Amino acid sequence: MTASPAPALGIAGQFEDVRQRHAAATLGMWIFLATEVLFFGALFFAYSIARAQAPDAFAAASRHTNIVLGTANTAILLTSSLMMVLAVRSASMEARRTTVMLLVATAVLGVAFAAIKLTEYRLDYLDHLVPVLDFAFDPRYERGARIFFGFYFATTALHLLHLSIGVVVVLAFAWRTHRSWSPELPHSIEIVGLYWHFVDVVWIFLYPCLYLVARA
Amino acid sequence: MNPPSLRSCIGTWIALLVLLALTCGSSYLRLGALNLATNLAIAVAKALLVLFVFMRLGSSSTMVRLVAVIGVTTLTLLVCLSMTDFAIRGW
Amino acid sequence: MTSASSPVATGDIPLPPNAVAARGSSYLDGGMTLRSWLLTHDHKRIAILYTLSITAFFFIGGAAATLIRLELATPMGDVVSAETYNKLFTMHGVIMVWFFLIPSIPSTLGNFLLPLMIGARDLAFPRLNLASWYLYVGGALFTIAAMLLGGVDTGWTFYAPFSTMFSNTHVIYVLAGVFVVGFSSILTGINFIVTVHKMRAPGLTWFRLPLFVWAQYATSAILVLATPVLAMTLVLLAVERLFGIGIFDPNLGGDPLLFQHLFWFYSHPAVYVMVLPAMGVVSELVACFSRNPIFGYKAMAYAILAIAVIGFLVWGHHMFVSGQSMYAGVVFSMLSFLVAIPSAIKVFNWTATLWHGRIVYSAPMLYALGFVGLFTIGGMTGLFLAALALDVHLTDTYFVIAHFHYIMVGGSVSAYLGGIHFWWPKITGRMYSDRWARFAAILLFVGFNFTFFPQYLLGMAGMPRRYHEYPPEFQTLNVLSSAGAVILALGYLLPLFYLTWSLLRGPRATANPWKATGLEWQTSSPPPEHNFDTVPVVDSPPYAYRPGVISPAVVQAREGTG
Repeated sequence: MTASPAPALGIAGQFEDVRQRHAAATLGMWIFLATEVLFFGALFFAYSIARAQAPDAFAAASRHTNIVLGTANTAILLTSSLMMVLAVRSASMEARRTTVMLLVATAVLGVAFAAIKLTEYRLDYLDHLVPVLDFAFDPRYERGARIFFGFYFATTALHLLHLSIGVVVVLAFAWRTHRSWSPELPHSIEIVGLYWHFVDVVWIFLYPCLYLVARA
Repeated sequence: MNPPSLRSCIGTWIALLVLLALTCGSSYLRLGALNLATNLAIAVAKALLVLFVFMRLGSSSTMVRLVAVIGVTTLTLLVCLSMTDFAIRGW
Repeated sequence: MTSASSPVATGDIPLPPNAVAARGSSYLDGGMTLRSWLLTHDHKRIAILYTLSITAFFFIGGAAATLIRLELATPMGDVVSAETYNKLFTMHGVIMVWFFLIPSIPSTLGNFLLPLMIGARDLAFPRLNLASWYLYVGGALFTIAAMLLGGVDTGWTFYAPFSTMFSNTHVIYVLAGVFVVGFSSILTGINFIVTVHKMRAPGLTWFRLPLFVWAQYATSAILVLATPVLAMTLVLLAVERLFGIGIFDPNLGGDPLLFQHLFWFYSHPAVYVMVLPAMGVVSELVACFSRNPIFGYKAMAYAILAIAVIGFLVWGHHMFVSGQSMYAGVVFSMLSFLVAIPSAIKVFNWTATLWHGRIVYSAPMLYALGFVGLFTIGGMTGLFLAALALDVHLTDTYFVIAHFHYIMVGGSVSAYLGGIHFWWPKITGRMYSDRWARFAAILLFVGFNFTFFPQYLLGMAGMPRRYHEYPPEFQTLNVLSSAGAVILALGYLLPLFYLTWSLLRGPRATANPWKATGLEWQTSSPPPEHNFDTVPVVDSPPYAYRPGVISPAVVQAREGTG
């Protein structure tokens, strides 16, 4: 074996070939997603303990979340995942224009999610549901409701941060694909897709924890 | 690794929206403890759909699947071993 | 076999037939500009950036320790106030744990050697590697800011609700610093795991890997799985402190034990992050300087994995008296006994490796032997602490402090220094004075035992930890401990001098001055930027010292039945 042919192929010198680079990048992204499972998982665990210790307060507080906006947002995010996987699919078929449009659609839905979320935040503020900003709640449940909304804002803010990073990266790849095609784009987009779907999975669990505690 | 077919993508998306309607709708029924169980089960189902269809976990390499399993298992350990404390305190 | 009369025999390590010791440029020739260092992608340069950073923090943490031991030389609190003392032990712990020990072997020796040991040109993600160093620096800046703004007094364990509700110090800065440096760990872990899976040289099967690589791999798995939980715990602390959300504070409806479960879920595996790489180093040193293959190689590899796995199951032993359920205490106690088994297997196997070896008492070997002895003592006292009834008496006393310092300092720091001395020729291309190095190693061993053994006795007698004053009857042992610390400090300062001298005036090193096995020795000292001119193909088991005398595990590997 001689010096790596990789640089001549435009692949970083530590890799021997494209297949090795693919495999390494895919494995790396999945390991990163595993770290995120533990990051958000610890948060969900803390939430569960808090909820078990104040079930009635959590139920009362959850009823004050905006079910219409929350459910709409869930549908939007699920649809963005559809756009993302279709983008991966069209990239693998080297359909450049379709890929760009689907990536942009993904990002647009992500931005729509964020916009609705921020609207929700404003409505929550006006309803005195933000813990440090003039919080007011039924005195019977005030202590637990404050904790619920503390979790609500912390978890949704963290999720929003991850989503925003995803939007930026998706748009960056949309731009890159638009400028010029390169053979490793389908794989790179696939990896971005993995991240995007994961952000969706986090929300899939957040939604019932925050919005559906006790609607009946 | 091939991305899913157009039919799989659309079909899964529809399934996800149906499950969303189910989880939201069932929450308005007074089922007691079953509400939480139902919502959790539906969330898990949605997550599995995304993982196996959109993220192609089923046809990924062994190592990738191992990573996914180990991630979830470690979280499970955190929860279960902690519950030996939380669930049994005050006995 | 060989007829050499010198302690390090020549000629008994055959080079793989197609490996070429690269000649010509070294990675250090590629420029000495700031830009060439701060924007490098070369894992070797990044390793050196890390080494400089953690050395600086080691001495800052050591300065805090010096003030602590100065205060404890007398029973009265007459050197610093109680509040200042709290800040001293907090900063000592935070710095030593997160800014020295956790990154130490993985980010310095691991970064430098991992690609070399598997025949790769770099890690899988070189830019991620550089990013991880910048994250370290970022975290360090937050922590320094906290120090300059007056320090933090919560203890490195940040127990809530004190840290969230009552401490009047800049807790958030330290939380931010540790949060950021945690991501440095995570990126390193991801990089190492992918590298070991995807970038091994042809023929380098898993059971031909050096145990150093196995150790880095297991450590990386721990880093990747445990650190995110710490990150979230710190976020929750900040949420409670900044916004008054009652997650941990019972006055606000929270549960203080929730914090402890989350914190120790990371912090216990973290101590295995600190010790597993050290064990990997020790295996390399013991094999090389007894001229024997490692006894029971496969058992050693499995033991490394077992320690990593079981290490995730024992965190509750830090909480025996915290108010957690007795049932949980029993479960965690039993699991803690279990983790001693693979550790003991490793100690037995190192000892067996020495058997009928031709032992060379070089400086690295002295550090390695020191590790084996001191780790054994520290490990056994861990068993004492794992016993519920004993722990009631010993918890939060100096017995615990002695226990973990025996492992982290007597063990990990010794192994780190042993590794630095062993691979120094490879990294720098220079040799150092073995006489001075051996003297420092012995000084360290003596100073260490004088510092920390009395602390076992103090703990048994009931002296609590984190107190700046104590009853006068404890003074004799405390004075002994503080005096020992002076010798220990000398042992740590000496290498600064003779290693610097080696850099400036040391004799040039050959490719393989210790006649060790391992791919890193098949390239020049220092290596060229791309590590190997020709990537070697591996066809023999590891630790092929004295090829005529091999252990059954090695035979199995060679015959493919392993």
